[in-house]
Amino acid sequence: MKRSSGIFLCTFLLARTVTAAGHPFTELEIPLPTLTGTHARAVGMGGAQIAVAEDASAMTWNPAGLARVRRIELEATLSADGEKIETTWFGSNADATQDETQFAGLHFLYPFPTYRGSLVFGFGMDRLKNFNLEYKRSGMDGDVALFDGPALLTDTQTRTGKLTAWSAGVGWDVTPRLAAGITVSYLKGTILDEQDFLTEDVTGIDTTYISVRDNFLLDLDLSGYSALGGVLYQASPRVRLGAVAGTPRVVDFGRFEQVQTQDFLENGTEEFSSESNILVDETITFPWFVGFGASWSARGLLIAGDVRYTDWSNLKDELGDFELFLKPYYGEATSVSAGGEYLFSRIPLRLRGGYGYDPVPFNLTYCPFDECLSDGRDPAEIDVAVDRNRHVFSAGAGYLFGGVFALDVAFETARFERVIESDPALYSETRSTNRIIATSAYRF
Amino acid sequence: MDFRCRPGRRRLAIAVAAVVPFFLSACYTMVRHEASMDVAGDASHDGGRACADCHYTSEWLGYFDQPLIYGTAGYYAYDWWYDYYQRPWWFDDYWYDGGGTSPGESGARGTSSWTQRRLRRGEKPAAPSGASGPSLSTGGSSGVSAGSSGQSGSPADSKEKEGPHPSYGKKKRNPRR
Repeated sequence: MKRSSGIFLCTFLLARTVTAAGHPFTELEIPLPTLTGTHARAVGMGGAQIAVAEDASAMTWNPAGLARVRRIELEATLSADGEKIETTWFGSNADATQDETQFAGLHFLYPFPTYRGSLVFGFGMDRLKNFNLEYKRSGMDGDVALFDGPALLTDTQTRTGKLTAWSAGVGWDVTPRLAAGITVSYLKGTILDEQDFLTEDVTGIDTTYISVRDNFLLDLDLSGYSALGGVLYQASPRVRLGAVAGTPRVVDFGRFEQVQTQDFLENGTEEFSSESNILVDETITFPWFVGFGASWSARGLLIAGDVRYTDWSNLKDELGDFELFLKPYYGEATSVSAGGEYLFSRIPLRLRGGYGYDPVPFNLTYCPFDECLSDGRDPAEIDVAVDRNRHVFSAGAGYLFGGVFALDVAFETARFERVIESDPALYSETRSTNRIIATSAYRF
Repeated sequence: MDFRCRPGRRRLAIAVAAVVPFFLSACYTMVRHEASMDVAGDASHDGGRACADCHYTSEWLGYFDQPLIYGTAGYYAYDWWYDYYQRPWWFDDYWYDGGGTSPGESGARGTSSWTQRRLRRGEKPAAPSGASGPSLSTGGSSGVSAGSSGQSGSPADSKEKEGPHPSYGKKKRNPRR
């Protein structure tokens, strides 16, 4: 009975390990499909685009910016992403790296001929999230219940998958100075995750077991929708103000899980092995967010800044008949970004740079499963002090060929560290990402 | 049947009900010219004057060169980006071929092919930095009215006739300058 319960809990654990890096302190962390970073100009300016975007990137940053597009545009983006995750895991270090070049976006914009104002339609796809991950780590856990003592844990995880947004947007002029826009997105993706978890009695403290192997296979089919609305106000020839609001994104995870468990005994036999196939649906609802931006431009110089606010404590996660009580583990997050761009007068070249402060909304915690299912714990009990600061630096350049073809490239590097300040050896994590992104756009 | 709404959804419905009508009723964008276009041919009016009156006072004159509305000041200032960001594609006929009956339709001297347009746009524009479309070069009437008159100028014409950009907030300009 206890074993069956363990299988269920392990399955439940898998729900989190699939969406996170697999560390016990990040089991409840859900990968957040951001709407950023699929356009080189935006990336190069640190993401400060709410009051700037006036090309296909407006569909993801501020749809009102579509109203500023005057020519038919076809745009494509390629992205080379590299990520490195370093963690301490039961006192041992573990690294995971991932490098991949992928097609990140394709957009088509059509400004409808108007006599007054503007009416622009946009269609496109954005690769929002890359779930690819390869992880192998091991460490000694001093207190494993199965052995009533220490055990060597080895965790191997391979995950592939992508989340793509198919979007349609429209931007139009409401008044000469005010534009509005809406983007509606259909989210579609897959995750295939295989995790092998081996617990070994290397000290010989247990007289029954040698090792226990749990193998999890998870096949997820993701689908969902979201909408983004925005306005853009031209306060003066040099100053623009923008605001956006994103509706809750509802993502359904059609889950197929396969769990295999094998216990290897001291006498060389398998005492227990089991296999279970589980089909369960999970629905994650990402909360509202709002953002405000301003830009100032003078001859050859453009400076912009954005502020975004998201109350991640409103994140909802429904797994089958259960609703996870996530509120204590997610907090409010206010991200700030600033960027600048300089135009050369003698050649059609523009250089840009940016900085972003994007705090990680998840509070590191270890949550016993039964306490996560419903009422949860008192937030006051979660006293893990965590440094959630995430800093992003970027730079880029763009060149206009023949007056019709723009090529923009950007480099972005981001890094953050999460450490349990009271006991860094218990958990610490450093994530660094480097990214090169190129966007080409042809305006007919 | 229970028609009660949860408080959160009710607030959302109220917000949507308040915002959507504003965007719809205040819709400024026009995809068709109003019937008043015929005013230009009305014997009781000075055609150009009638159009100019309407367009100047409505603040939407200068559809193409309005620095307040279209494009950031930085981009507006440079020829390199002017065509890329500023000029509507459906006015290529006016700009490159010198006229048409209305935006997006074939001009009097034929319609530019996409190839011709691309080649021309690849050149440094003949129009001065920030020059208005040819419609404005005819004396200040709107792009629509000027286009219908068939007097739209080439970029070179614009260069000769255009002055500095209208300053921000200056809604009424002298159409005869």
